[in-house]
Amino acid sequence: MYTVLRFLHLFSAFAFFTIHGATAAAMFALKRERDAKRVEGWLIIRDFATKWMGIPLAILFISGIVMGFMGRWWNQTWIWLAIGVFLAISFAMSGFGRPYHDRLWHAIDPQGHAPPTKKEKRRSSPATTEEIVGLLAKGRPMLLTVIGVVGLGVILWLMMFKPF
Amino acid sequence: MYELLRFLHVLSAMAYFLFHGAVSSVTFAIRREPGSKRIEALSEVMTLAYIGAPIAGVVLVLTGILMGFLGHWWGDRWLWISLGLLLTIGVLMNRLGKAYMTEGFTRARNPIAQTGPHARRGISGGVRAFFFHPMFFTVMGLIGLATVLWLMMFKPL
Repeated sequence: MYTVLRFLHLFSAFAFFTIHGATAAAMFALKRERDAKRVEGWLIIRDFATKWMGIPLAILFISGIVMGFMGRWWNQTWIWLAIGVFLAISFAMSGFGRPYHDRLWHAIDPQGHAPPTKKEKRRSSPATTEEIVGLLAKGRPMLLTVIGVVGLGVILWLMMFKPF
Repeated sequence: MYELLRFLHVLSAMAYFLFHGAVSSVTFAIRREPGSKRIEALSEVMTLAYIGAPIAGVVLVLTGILMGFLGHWWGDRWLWISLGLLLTIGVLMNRLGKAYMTEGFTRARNPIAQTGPHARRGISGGVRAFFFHPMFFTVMGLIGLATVLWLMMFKPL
C-alpha cells in the first residue's frame, strides 16, 4: 500500500510539473512581448494550464499526507520543513504570478476580466500599448524560476534523505 | 553516491516534465488558435521548451545508466523493458508529434488550408483523427510514464 502511494505521489508530481511547464514558459515569453494579441495568446495558454494543475496537485498532497501517517513521520522535522517550504513556494508563486497575469488580462480585456484587487479601478477601455509594455516589464520569471527550482530541490532532498 | 544519483535522477525528471509540459500545452492550444498572431506565441513556447528539455533529458539518462551499474541491474528485465518503452514512446512522440505540429502550424498560418480537407494521402480519415489528436499523445505519455515508473519502483521482473 505504501509503495502504491509513493508511486501515485511521484506520478502526480510528474503530471503537475508537465502542466506547470506551460505557465512557466508563458511567464518567460510574456516578458518579451509587445503585441496585445500575442500577450492574450500567452495568457490563454497560462489559464488553460492553471485550470488543470489542481488535479495532480490534490493527488500529490493527499498521497503525501497519507504516507506521512503510514510512515509515522508527522513527529519528524523534515516533513514539517518540506510542507513549510512547499507553502512558501506556493505563496511566492501566487503572490508574484497571479496578480501579474490578472492585471494583464484586465488591461487587455477590461470587460471580460475584473481588476485583480478591489482597490484597483475597473478600466472602461483596453490599455494602450505603452501601458501594456509597462505591465509586462513587472514580470519576474527568473525570480520565480529560482524560487521554484531551489524550493523543489530542498523538498526533494528532505523527502529522499529525511535528515532530521 | 547512489542516493545522490537517485536525487539527481528524480530532479532532472521533474525538470524534463516541466519543459515538456510547455510542448504539451501547445498541442492542445494549436487546435483552437487559427490564423492569428497567437500562433507565433505558441511557436515560441516550443522553442523555449526545446532549449531546456534536452539538458534535463541527458542528466536523466546519464544518472539512470550510472544507477544501473551501481545497482547491478543491467541483467534485470525491468530495466530493459522500461528502456524499450522509453524509446518506443520517444520515437512515436517524435514522429507523430512533429507531423501533427507541422501540420497544425501550417494550417493555422494559412487561412485557405484551414477550410481544406484534413486527410493526407495514404492515411484514412478515421485513423488519422485518432492518431493526430493531442489526447492520443497525452494518454500515450501518461500510460508510458506510469509503466516506466512502475517498472523502476517495483522492479517486478
